[in-house]
Amino acid sequence: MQYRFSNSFKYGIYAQNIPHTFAVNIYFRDSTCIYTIYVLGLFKHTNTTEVVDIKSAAVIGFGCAGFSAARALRQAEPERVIDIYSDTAEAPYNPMLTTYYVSGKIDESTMFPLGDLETIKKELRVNILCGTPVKRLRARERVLELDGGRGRQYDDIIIATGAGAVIPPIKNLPERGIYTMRTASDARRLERALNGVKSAVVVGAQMVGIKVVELLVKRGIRTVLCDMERQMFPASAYERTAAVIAGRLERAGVELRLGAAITGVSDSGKVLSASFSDGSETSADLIVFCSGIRPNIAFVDREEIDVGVGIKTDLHMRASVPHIYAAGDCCETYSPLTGKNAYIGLWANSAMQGRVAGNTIAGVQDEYHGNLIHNITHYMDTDFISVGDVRSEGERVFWQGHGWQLEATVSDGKIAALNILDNAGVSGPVKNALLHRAAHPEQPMSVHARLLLSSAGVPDAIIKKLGGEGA
Amino acid sequence: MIFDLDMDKCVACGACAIACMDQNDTAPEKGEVPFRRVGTLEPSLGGGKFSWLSISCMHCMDAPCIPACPVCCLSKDENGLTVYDNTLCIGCRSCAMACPYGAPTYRADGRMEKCSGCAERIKYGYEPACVRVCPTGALLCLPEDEYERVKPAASLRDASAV
Amino acid sequence: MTELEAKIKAKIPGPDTGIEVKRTMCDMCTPLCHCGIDAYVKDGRVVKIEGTKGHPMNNGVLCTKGANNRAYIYRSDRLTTPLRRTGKRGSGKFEPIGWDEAYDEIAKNLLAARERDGANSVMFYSGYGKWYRFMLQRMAHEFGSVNYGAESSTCFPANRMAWLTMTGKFARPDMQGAKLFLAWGSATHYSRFNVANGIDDFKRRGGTVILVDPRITPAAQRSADLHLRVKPGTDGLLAGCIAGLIIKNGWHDTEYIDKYVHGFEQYAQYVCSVDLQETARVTGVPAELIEKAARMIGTIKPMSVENSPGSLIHQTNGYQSSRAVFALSVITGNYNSPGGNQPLDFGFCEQGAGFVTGDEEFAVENAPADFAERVGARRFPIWGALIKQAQCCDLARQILEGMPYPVRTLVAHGMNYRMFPDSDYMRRAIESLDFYVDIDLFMTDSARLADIVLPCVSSFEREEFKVYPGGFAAYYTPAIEPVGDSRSDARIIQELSARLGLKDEYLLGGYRKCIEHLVKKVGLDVNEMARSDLPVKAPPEAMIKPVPRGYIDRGCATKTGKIELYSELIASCGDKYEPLPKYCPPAELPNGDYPFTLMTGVRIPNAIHSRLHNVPWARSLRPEAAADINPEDAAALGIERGDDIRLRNEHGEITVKANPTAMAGRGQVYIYHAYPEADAAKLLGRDALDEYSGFPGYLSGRCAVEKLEKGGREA
Repeated sequence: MQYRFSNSFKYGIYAQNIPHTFAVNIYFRDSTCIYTIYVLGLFKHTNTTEVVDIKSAAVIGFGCAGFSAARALRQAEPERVIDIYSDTAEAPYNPMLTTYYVSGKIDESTMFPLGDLETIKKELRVNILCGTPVKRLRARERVLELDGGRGRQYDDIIIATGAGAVIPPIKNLPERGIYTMRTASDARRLERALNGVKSAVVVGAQMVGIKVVELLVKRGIRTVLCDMERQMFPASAYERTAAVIAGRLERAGVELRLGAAITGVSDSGKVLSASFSDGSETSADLIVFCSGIRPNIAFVDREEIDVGVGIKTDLHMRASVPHIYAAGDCCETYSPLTGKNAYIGLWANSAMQGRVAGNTIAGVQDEYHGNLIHNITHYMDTDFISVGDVRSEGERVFWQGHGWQLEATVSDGKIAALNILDNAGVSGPVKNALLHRAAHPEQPMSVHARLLLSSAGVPDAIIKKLGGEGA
Repeated sequence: MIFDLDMDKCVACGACAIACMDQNDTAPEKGEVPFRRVGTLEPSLGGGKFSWLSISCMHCMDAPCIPACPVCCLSKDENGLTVYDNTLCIGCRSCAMACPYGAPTYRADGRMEKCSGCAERIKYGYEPACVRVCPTGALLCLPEDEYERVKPAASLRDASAV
Repeated sequence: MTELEAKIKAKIPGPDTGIEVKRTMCDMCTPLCHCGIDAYVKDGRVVKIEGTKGHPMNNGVLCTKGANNRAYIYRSDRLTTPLRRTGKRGSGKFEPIGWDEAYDEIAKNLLAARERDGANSVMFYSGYGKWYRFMLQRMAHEFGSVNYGAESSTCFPANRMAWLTMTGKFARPDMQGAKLFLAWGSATHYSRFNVANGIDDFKRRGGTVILVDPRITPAAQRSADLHLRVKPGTDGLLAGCIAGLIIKNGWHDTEYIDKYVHGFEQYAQYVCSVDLQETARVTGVPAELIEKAARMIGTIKPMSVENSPGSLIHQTNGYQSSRAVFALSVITGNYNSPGGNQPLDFGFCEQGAGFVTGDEEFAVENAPADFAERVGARRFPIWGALIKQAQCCDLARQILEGMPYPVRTLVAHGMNYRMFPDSDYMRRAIESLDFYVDIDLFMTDSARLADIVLPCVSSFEREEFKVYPGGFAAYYTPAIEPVGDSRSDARIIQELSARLGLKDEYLLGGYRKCIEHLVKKVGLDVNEMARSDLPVKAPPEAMIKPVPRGYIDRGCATKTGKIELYSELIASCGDKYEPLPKYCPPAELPNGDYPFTLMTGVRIPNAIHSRLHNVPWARSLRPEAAADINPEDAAALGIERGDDIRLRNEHGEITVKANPTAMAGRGQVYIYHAYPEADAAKLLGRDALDEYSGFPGYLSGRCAVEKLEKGGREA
């Protein structure tokens, strides 16, 4: 419950769930909290004619999802108090841009495409509490616990903490020469370290790893790319497509160690030496771990909130506890398109999920339409596109021609998954055709997707297999 | 503004693609491509019938390319057209993957270009080049209320809705 | 980018951007169109074009070809100065010369040729440009030569001849009042969009459409209530069979026939003898569909007939087939009846407008007494009797053989030897000439053979008079200055006339003076037209008032004064020719060696003859010369889309890409013409001509189709 006392200040009063204790927050109209007074036992009941129901929301984490949630909420509710908690002092950055920054393709500010903190603060009229990690979420009480045990209660809470890079459990990792590639500070760190580097090991032959390899090779650094799986892009590529990709990388001078997990790293003082599960070793000036990400949800009580890989939400981004929402790389969503819960860490998903969370809180009808796992990466003149789960069962279709290739899994007359090499232009139509097919199984692939595939050279028989029979 | 194609009227003649190149000074001899593509879908893929289509950016209301861009090049202008400023484009192809219509194209330097709906012309009261030229009246670009009044039965927008 | 920069980039006209919109016209295709264009001009250069809103022909839109105008007028091979050949003929070696020098040299050679071999040894020729022709022909005759000829030797006049033979006048479909529209060989989406739109409008008004076309076209799929996929070249048989069924069922209009028609008995006897089952076998149209068509044509009235100026007549039996089709309009009483086909007097330059300027008479009023001696007129006497030009399909032969008299000099506006059957034959003929001037916008392969090349201008750079249906007339003024030192064809004719010492006041007075003379009697004023933003309406008193059956009541301009199903003109030309529109097969039928019917030049949206092949925009829509073949035929030959294939017959061979499409019927091959790298005319026999019209069989050839491995080796 909050009270408005004047036009220039808003006085918010809300219970902190401590008996007989109330907090009076004094805000400017732009939501900047300037003062908090804790009052003991003063009010039992409020009784005033000037009641304005100004609600509050907390956003935990300030990446794309957090930003999108705050923006949607602000658009729908001009008066709402929105507090954003961030463990850094960074503006929302795009993890995907880190490698572009290190490669020199973009400058540092471009990693923060949504603007700097001051601008965002002004435009969204939010409080951004930098360097304020949330230590614990008491979900049912809607209370955040901060450093030192302070607690704050909100009407609604959005968890948008994203995900962090994972380093495999290796004993006695050296103090120096070990890098990850996820955050803006990771990027700055690697960028600073690259001068004079002659050789490097990249661990993880996935989407991040390949971009790191690209930037290293571009700098003339001898690069070893290793992965415990026996192929490139083990999570997203078919063996056959992966083999083509691997062949190209080798021709570009990349040393591949596939099927070789990194088991140890030692430091001679001059160089590092990595040893692999296949018994081989290699020396390198530095090692970049690109072996995956994990949701940043350690502060969530799994007894309270349902968690799978990430926080489980419905299509309105509601977590299992009322008034708690999650969006972006920290959550997983049921996807009606696949009939499964999916954890899909993608910038665009985060934007949409954040928006849906913000709108839902504000009572604006909005729904996340679900998604398929999909990735596109453009590196070294190659476009590699993956949609859906390439390990799903079904008939395998392969076609090659007109300077590109396509590999897919088809089951029940539907594409379950596919890989495309070197044709970004058809990737969107095909991906959307899959989404369309999943949403409307009775309908064929849309007419324009059929035409675009056909124009790109795909034979009729293949298009038909992909669901393009036509009505 | 709503962009649409009346699939009962299009004959894939390509006048729209030429007008697009005229408006945008596109040079196919340098490997550039128009922002609009036309084609004929054979009956073998079209349920026994031909489909003649002209495909470009449909300026989706909830355009999936906008959130897909990691550097926020794409946005909506005051008329609802999906416009862009590719100064920061990193050529990552994320917009290509998002777009159901294959609208984004990439220049030799890797930067994305696509149909802007002739947004600037619309601002000054002119029609998009492709809409103006269309000899069969198949291409439409209209304000929403007007569009609803003349909405074609064979709308590409409807046919391709996810 | 500043706001002004954004406006300039978006090409917004205005004083701040320096972009001005100027009215001009498109001259890309047939004078039946010639749409209005808004040229956006900045610093004297066209930066963008649009169709002119409110223009009676196109009201704001343009077709694919017209949309290419800017790239066309700024083609990189645009000629900017007169050139004189310095190397061997065809070597492409030229030196730039001044206009005076060029005219001197031309005049010297022409006058010497007239002195040496007679005036008729000089041929004045026009390619696809038509707007200056009335002056060119007048100049030829003023010079003393009977020999004016044009690409019209292969396009449109044969269609006109079919109507002239029967009724004495060309006729147009009167769709406004029609209930049935018989579109025979009329696929207008890729040639004349306004006709296609007219058919759509006709459908919306509740009209019924029969389409006769071997291909599946947008019109076939969407507009046709009945689509007859006739085998190419068998149309005459189909039309005859339908006529027979109409007569046998008593659906013909006996009262009309008794009053207006000559030769019905012989005609009826013939068409009633055409066997339905045999027709179904030969034409590929199922008997029940033929019967259905006959019932529709016989019972739905009024019916108007459209036959493209370039479909049936491009088969070597096309003249007779056209007559057979038009006869359907006659026996059903539709000709000159409301909603049928109306006799048409051209307003100007083969375009109907409802008024008449008399440009055709102007062109021939000074014709020499030996006019009958013009090239081709004796070899093709029906042509000679009906069309007041040379039949240039006999030109190469006469140049090379010198019979019956030598033709040694050629003054050509826009020569393209690739349009003639066996194009190498025409090229060799041109190479053998004593003197050859080509006037063109571009250094074409034909211009490369010339002794003198003169650069001419596009429609954006000249004054031009146009008429449009509905009584409209326009006088366009230049939107931009001529590119380089080029000049308009009309100015070249004017200046050359002076150099040749001709005395004709109109030729010496120039284009505007000629037009002023021609439009005076219509009551139009050139200055007023030139000032108007849009075409103006001719005064009502100049408009011809159509009277139902007025023309046939007054008496047709035929020998008998009646509509001649049995042509007395043809009967007078000797036994070789058939006075009835009887079917005989095309000259070259598919056989065991060459099993496919070959059709060259069927319209594709992005090309018009050779004009746009070198325009990158247009080319980009279909970058390579490609043959349309039926997918089942392709599959049987192991051919996939994009494969290299060879089209081969007894005349020659070309290599093109394969484009399997169900638009093409089984056993048919469609290839567009005039590609330098794949010249379809090489596959046409130079003597495979329609005996009546002299027209080549562009659409009635034959060939074998062979798949090539990469690198051109046969599979």
